[in-house]
Amino acid sequence: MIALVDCNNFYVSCERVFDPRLEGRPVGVLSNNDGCVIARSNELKALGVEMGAALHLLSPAIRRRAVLLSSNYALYGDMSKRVIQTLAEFSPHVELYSIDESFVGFQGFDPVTLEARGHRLRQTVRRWTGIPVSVGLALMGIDTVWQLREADPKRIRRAFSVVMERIVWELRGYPAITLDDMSAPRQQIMVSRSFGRQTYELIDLREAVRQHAARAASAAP
Amino acid sequence: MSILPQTTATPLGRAETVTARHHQPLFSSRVRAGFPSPADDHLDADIDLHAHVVKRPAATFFVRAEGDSMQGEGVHHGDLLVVDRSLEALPGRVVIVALDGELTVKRLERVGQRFYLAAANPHYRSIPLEGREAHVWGVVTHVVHALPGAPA
Repeated sequence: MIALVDCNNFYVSCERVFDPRLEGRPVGVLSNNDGCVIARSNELKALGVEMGAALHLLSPAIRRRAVLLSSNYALYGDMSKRVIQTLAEFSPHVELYSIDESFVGFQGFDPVTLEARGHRLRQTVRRWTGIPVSVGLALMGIDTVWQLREADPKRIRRAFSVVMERIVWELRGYPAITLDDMSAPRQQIMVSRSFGRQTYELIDLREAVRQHAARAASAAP
Repeated sequence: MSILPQTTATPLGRAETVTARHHQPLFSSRVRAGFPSPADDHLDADIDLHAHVVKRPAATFFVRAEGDSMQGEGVHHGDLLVVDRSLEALPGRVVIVALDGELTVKRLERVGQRFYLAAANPHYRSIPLEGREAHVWGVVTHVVHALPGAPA
């Protein structure tokens, strides 16, 4: 049995740990350069702000009510590490999946105790790190690799990710995972930023394109 | 009376969860505030100051104290506090409390069934917790206080 531990509104939750005034208020965290909203508290979601919404397109009413913060990735990385360390107290099998999601293996644990374990895990992470998490225990009844092979790839993709879906295909004998490591040349290099405000001047655009083209060129292998 | 109304706590960036080891030799003598014995200054063991104060890295944070309301507990303005969130807030312990949207340093006290946040300075009154929105953020375990002459 594997549990999926998902940090709720992770970046917002990290900010709330250190600033209790943010509790209960609509809070958003913005992408690099404060371009768009990349994390939303439940209160901000309730105001109808979509994931990825551009800051300059938000209505003045929402911008007045909401607390919109620049991102602090050093902080989120540190908090993610703390969550992982706390999870490690519950099982020797902890797999970081993304900055705010992890798999915790409960192989060999008495299944009867799992629900209580899940509750204790959630409470402990909340108390030690301040981060609220959701724990998904009944992962569609998949306990073995064979069951994963037999699972519906579309459902797996919805529940997990395209990567997990590819694993299902691989298990069935269809090559789905390509080795796109260093041997393959990069097909694209992207350097992107949003303007902090609306731009009407061609010269501003020109400067930005020039600067980003230079950065992309220096990032080329 | 003091300039600052309460002793507040400001989180300091990140408390390192994994650190390079900094071992310092531990001298077996206790420091006596009298006459030191020269015979005591042999090395006993190495001590890692970080490991000594950080028992549970995942739950330990460093905060900066501002204000003088906790002087009596040895918490002075500008001191660095080691806070362990995994510890239980028991009466008598110095805690960081989120009170009215601010992180505040206080000693938790209990009188009968009632809980109070007590200051350690006669200029400040205890704050009854009854009917107030407050939650414990963590328990202060150590105070790092610089004495005159300590390099900044």
